[in-house]
Formats: sequence, C-alpha cells, structure tokens
Amino acid sequence: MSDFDKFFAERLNQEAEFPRREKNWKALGKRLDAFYAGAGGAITTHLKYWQAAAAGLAVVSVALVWKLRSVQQENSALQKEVAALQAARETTPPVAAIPPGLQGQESVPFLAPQKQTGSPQPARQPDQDAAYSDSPVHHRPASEAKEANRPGRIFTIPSAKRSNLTAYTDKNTLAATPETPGPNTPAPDSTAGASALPTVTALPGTEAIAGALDLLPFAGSGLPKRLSVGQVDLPSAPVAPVTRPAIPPNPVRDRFRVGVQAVAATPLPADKGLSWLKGGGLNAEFSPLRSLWLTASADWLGASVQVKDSLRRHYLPPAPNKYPKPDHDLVQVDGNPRYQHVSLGLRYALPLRFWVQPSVRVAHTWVHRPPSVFSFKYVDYDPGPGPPKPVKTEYLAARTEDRWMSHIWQFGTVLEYTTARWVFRLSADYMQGGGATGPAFDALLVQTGVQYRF
Amino acid sequence: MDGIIDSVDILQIIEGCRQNKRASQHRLYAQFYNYAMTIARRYTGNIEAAEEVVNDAFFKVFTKINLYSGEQPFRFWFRRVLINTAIDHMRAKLSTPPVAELQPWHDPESDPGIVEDLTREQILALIDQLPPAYRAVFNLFVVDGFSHDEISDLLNISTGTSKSNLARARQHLRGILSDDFEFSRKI
Repeated sequence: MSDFDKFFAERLNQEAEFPRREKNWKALGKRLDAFYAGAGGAITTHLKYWQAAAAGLAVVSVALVWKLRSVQQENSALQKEVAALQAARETTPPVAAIPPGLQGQESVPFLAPQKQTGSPQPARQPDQDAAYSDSPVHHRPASEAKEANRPGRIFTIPSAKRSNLTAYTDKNTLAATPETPGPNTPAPDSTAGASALPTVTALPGTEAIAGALDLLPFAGSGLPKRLSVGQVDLPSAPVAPVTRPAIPPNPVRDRFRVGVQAVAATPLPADKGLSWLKGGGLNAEFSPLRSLWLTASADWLGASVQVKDSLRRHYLPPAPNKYPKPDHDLVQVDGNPRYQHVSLGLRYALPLRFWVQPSVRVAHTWVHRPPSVFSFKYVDYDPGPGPPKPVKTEYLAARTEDRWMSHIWQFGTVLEYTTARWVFRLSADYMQGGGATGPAFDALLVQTGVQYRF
Repeated sequence: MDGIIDSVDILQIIEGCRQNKRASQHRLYAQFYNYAMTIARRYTGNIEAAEEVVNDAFFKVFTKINLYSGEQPFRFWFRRVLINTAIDHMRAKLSTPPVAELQPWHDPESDPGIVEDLTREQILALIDQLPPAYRAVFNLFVVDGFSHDEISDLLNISTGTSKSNLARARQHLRGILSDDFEFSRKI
C-alpha cells in the first residue's frame, strides 16, 4: 500500500461525531416494533382481532359445509321420492278397486277417499237397491278386478268388519254407498240436494249403518248404474296456490365468473401531493361450494406525485468533479408511479335475500411497483456573492427500482346484482400490510365492475 | 468503545439484545452509532443515505443477533454487516453518472505536503466525488482492508474489474487533487 493509500485510510478511519442519533433511534425503534409484531414476538391487540375473525370464519365455513352436505342429501332423497311418485302417477289411474276374492281373505285392500269434492253425492233410489244387491263386491266383473290391482291409498278392513260388510251388502243397504266422483267415475246427472256420505274407514255395526243410511235423502236420480264399495276416488294432491315472491329467486347457480373492473384507491394516510390510484383489471372466480368463492384478480393502477411542500431539507447531490453544493434546496418532486396488484382470496356470499347480494371477502395481495422516473427540482436562491443574480434552478431525474411487496391483506365487502348471465358489482376494500419488513402499503380501494357467469 | 476483544460490558449488551431488550438495543446503538456512521458515510456519499444504511444495518443486527457466534469481536462482525448493507444500498441506487476523463498535470504524490494538509472532511468530500463503483472499491480496499478477491465476491464483479476500478479511483482522486491544486495556485 502506497503512502497515498495509507494517508487516505488513516484519515477516513477517524471516527467523527454525527448528529440526529436519538431521532434515528426512534425511527429504528418503531421499525423494530413493527417487525416484532409481524414476526409474532409481540402480538398486538390489533392482530388478535384478526386472528379471532379468522377463527370465526373457519368455524362458519365448517358449519356451512356441514349444512350444505345435509341439504344435498335431503335434496337427493326428495328427488328420488318425486321420481317414484311421478312414475306411479304416469302408470296408475286414480281409481282402484277391491280385488276379487274379497271373502276368504284375511284382509281386504280398501281405498278410502282422502278429500271430499265439492259435488254433492248422488242419492240412491229405493228401486235400485236390488240392482246394487245383485252386484256384491266379491262378484265384481273382470274389469273391476283389474283396476283393483293398481296402487292407491289402501286401508285394510279387518275380518270382523268384513263379515259385517257382507251382511250389510246382503241386506241391500251398503251397495248404495256412494263414492266421491273421480275423474273416471261417471258424474251423476243430478246432484242437487244430495249430501256427502261419511267416509268409510271402518264399518260400524250393520244396524247402525243401515239406520244412518235410512236417514239419507234418496232424491238423486242420476246415480251410476254400478257402484262398488271398493271404488273410490284417488285423492287428488292438494295444490297450493302459486304466489310470486316479492324478491325474484336467484338465477341458476353458477360456478365460474370472469369479469372486468375499474379501481380507485387512496393511500392511507393520504399524503399531500399523492393522487388517487386509478386503473382497471381482470378478475375470475370459482365456487367450489355454494356461497363460497375462490377469487383471483389482477389490477393495473397509476398515480401522479407532485410534492411541493413538506419536503425535508434535501440538497442537490454534488456533480462529478465538483465540491458538494449544499445551497440547492429540493423544492419539488414529480413522478407517475405505476402499480400492479395481484390478489388471491376467498369470498363468502351472506345468506341474505335482497335485491343485491352482499358478500364479504379476504384476499392476499402482491403489489408490484415497476421502475418509474421521478424528477427532482432544486433551487439555489442565492447563487453567489456579488450583485443579485436570478434564482438558479436545476433538475435531476431518478429511476426507482423494481420492487415486489407481499404480506398485504385485503378485507372488504361486495354488493352484487345478478341477472341471468351477468353480475354487476360494487365493492370496497381496506388494504393493509407490508410494513413489517418493507414499505407499508395501506390503502382504501373502491371497485366497480361486471362479470359473466357460467 | 470496545477494543479488539469485547469487554464484559459489550457482551452483556449483546446478551440483552438476544432477548430483544429495548434498553440493551439502545445502548448498543448509542455505542456504535458514530462508528457506523463514519463507515456508512464513506460509502454513501451523503449523511441522509448514511443514516438510512446505519439504521438498516442495526435492524439486521437486532433481528439476526443470534447469528453472531461470539468467535470474533462484535465490532468486526458489525463492520461486515454494515459494509454489506452499504453495498446493497449502493446497488439499489441509480446507475453511475458518466464521469469525464481527467488529465492531471500535477502529481500530488510528488508534493505530499498538499495532501497532508487536507482535513478529514475535505478528504471525505473528495471521496464523495468518485463514482459509486469506484468509491466502493476504494473504500473496501484502501480503508477497510479487503482483498480484491473479497471485493469481487462482495460486489459480484471480477477481480480484474476490482483492480481496474481501484486504479481508476486513484486516478480520479489524483486528478481532483491536481485540479484543486491548480485552482489554489491560480488564486
């Protein structure tokens, strides 16, 4: 090492005093606090809230999955039942009869009316009693026997009751028991003045029934020629009146959505001279479960910086081969930084029925700041000794480095209006993070856009 | 200030830093602040950037104090952390501005009295005028005692480039001194 080098080394290794030690220590202390908070060394209350919210969200997610599973099982069971009923209805007319061979069996299938129609029952005529008695239920023709094999709502008549039925039929009284006219039953010509007979679910004593029937007004003249005690109407299913709901039902469930959005964001705190970040982006969503969406989005934002006030006392760096010039003050900074946001997250549609569907979402965001150019304006208000000289202005341009910021979280709400194919949405998000190990990136975002659903 | 061998006091402070005690961290910061600023100032060229480098270096020291094994004096370990941080900072800075070739007409080494009269601040001002790449090599080799191999590893350059940058740094300094000498003679 030459004397030249030794001289420089000697002089430059001399330790000097530097100001602003305590101020810099405070700044470092804050940075350390943020680091320890982020690294888990000292969990702040703020983080505890988020942890509690995350735990609650996990519990809610599990409950929703369980509920979804149970509803799916219930739906599949109902679908099977509906299919079976539909098949039965297509193959079965709504009338059934007591099968042949009523006597001698242990029990007899018997169809009971489920619903009284509004039509009055036809009354029998005394002179028709013989006709009825000539066609006892156990001697029905083949056509009736065929219909008896068709399913329907069947009651079983016990043997003891059946003997009463036989006896009653023999006495030419029960044969006149009218049936509720069904679709396949010929309608009586005249039903005026007739009253409905009681439903035969269990036969009381023969005499009691005979007495009851004797009291009936047999005024009808248009009775069917043959009425069998085994022939009853298949009850028609009660149909509830269809009323249009106040809020239209949700359209068909979709699993995928892609769309575009416009984004505006303001940094928090809003520094003077920094404009809103504006831009647009693309998004895509996939729903693995009902009401739960996996979301992905990419946004391109830009802002303008024009800071004139609140600048620290910066000076123009020395030009090559010249001594430093501490007399140039930095008075203005201009730039147009750009940002790219890439987010991955979850969105949960709240179980609320309203014209707009509210949702809550959480997403992790990576922010990319590509290189951009800033210009610095320096002014020398006192260019030198001698007569007054004009103010000397100099400009410097600087290019920022390319940088990715992570650990940025986004929490927000979404309102959606859904049509058959399109979803119109408006959302607001709070973005926070990146401060522990890098520059903080807190912002408030407002987004609006449209999505195609399929 | 501790010497080559760490005193009991500095060991206790380091132990407190390992336990993230803020008081110990403050004491270490206060003890090594001027030392760190002296080194960082040489590499960065201005006070504000030096403060940034020093805080970054202390942040690394406090958050990774467990990596310090104690086999070497803390001052050396800290110096290495600080220089690495300063180099990282320098890499992140803007590209080197073009520097005009200088043609010294006077060799200051032939007249050592001119140089010896310069104060530390004046020498620092001379160093600041070097392009960052030259300044880094000059600081590492001449002041901090790194070899060209170590410099090539640190700066991710070849050994030849390191030697070349050192030669050019010396040439620049001589040129500046010659220019200054000429200026003073004219006065």
